[in-house]
Amino acid sequence: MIPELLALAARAVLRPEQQDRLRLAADSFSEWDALPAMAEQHGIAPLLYTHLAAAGIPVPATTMLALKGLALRHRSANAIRFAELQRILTALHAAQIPVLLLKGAALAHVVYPDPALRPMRDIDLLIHPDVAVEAQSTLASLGYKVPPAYPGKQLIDHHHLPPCVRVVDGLSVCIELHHRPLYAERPSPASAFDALYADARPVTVGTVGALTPPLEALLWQTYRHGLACPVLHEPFCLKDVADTYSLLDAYHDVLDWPGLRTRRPRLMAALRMLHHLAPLSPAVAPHVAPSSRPPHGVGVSFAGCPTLSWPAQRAAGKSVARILRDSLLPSDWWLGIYSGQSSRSARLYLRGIRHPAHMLYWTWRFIYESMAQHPYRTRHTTAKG
Amino acid sequence: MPSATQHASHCPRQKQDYKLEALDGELLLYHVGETRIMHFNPTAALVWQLCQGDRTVEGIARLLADAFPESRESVHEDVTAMLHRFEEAGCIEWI
Repeated sequence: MIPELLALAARAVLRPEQQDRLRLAADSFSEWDALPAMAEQHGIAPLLYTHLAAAGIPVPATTMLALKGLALRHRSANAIRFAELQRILTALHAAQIPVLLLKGAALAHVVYPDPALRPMRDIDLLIHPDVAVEAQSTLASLGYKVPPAYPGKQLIDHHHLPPCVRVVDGLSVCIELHHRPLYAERPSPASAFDALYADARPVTVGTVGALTPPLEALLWQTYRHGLACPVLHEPFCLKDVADTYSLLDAYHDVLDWPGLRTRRPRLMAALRMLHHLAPLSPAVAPHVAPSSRPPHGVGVSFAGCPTLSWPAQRAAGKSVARILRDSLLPSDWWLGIYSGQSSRSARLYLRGIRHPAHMLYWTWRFIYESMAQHPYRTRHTTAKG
Repeated sequence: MPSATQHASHCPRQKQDYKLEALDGELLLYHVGETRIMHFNPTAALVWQLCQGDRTVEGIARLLADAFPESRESVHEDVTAMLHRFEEAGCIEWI
């Protein structure tokens, strides 16, 4: 179960009343020794450290020291990554290759007051599919190791080229060149890129200008790639909540809410569920219209197979019955977020029919990808931008 | 691999890519590509700065003893303990 203290810290900026609630949550919190590891696992250690310090919450010294260390390390790592990103953007601009920042690289600069607050593991860039090879060559000219093209089978979710890597000051900087926009509505990658590029937003990375997809697209991608991330890849992570809430808090007055309600009902339903974990800001809540009745299992995220492997769960002491229950009967709250359904009747259908079928599909896919030796699978299980 | 107590004639040297930085009054040593983070007091930070591969354990202790004569008696033991800690953390090498 996700501790309230962690959930409340999952946003870039805390208003005074949100700080008060964080203080209350801290009063009843007891797992201080485990907190830094939990925060790091959820990708919000720098945010938590910042909010605890700003709110003047008394925290055991060893916990605060560990959080401080994590914040410092992420700050240093992001400084290296963003310096590299500036080099890459400059080179791509010089080669006249249009590029959009995606995921963490975009969100760190669009919604966080300090990009160091947003932990990252790689840098995701979206390029037009026609210039993918040129973009790779540009990275190679900057010293990045470019793996050979995957020669084998057709991949199921092959939306980016094999990651390019360069070690800088001891940090392995990984660049993923996406040639197919994530979760775009247009079938053709080229036209999807053109559509995003036409509505792109300017942003500054250090001293270099860059572009990101429009806010609504960033929000949708964060939901689909993060909160509704296929169960095969990664567990529920508060970093995605922080990205979502921070974007909503910063841009609630310019977002196309009618468009989101019409075109992204799954996202809106997920926001209604998230509201019960950490309340949406007063300026955002009216647009989302969350219900007053919380679903069952708020804060209990999916902890079954294949997100967690069977052997790992058994090794952790879980009984077979518990593993089956966690896999086939997740909490209403998580199901509502994952599937984007906030009504109780829809979730009953999900729980009884759709989710078991979904699990069968993912079990098949897990076996398929394992047998096909999917070249990106290892990365997917360890990294999410 | 010799250690601080085993080979006093060797010189400790910082391994590449470790950084010592201050954040809100705390000194932290870390490697951006690794998860371990060490918290330093000012004396440990000083010992770390002296691990350049050009001073033995004795040399470092002598330098600190001259700088802090009031602690002269315990300096050698403290330096050895700190270097042992650095070595366990894998952030120094002996040359």
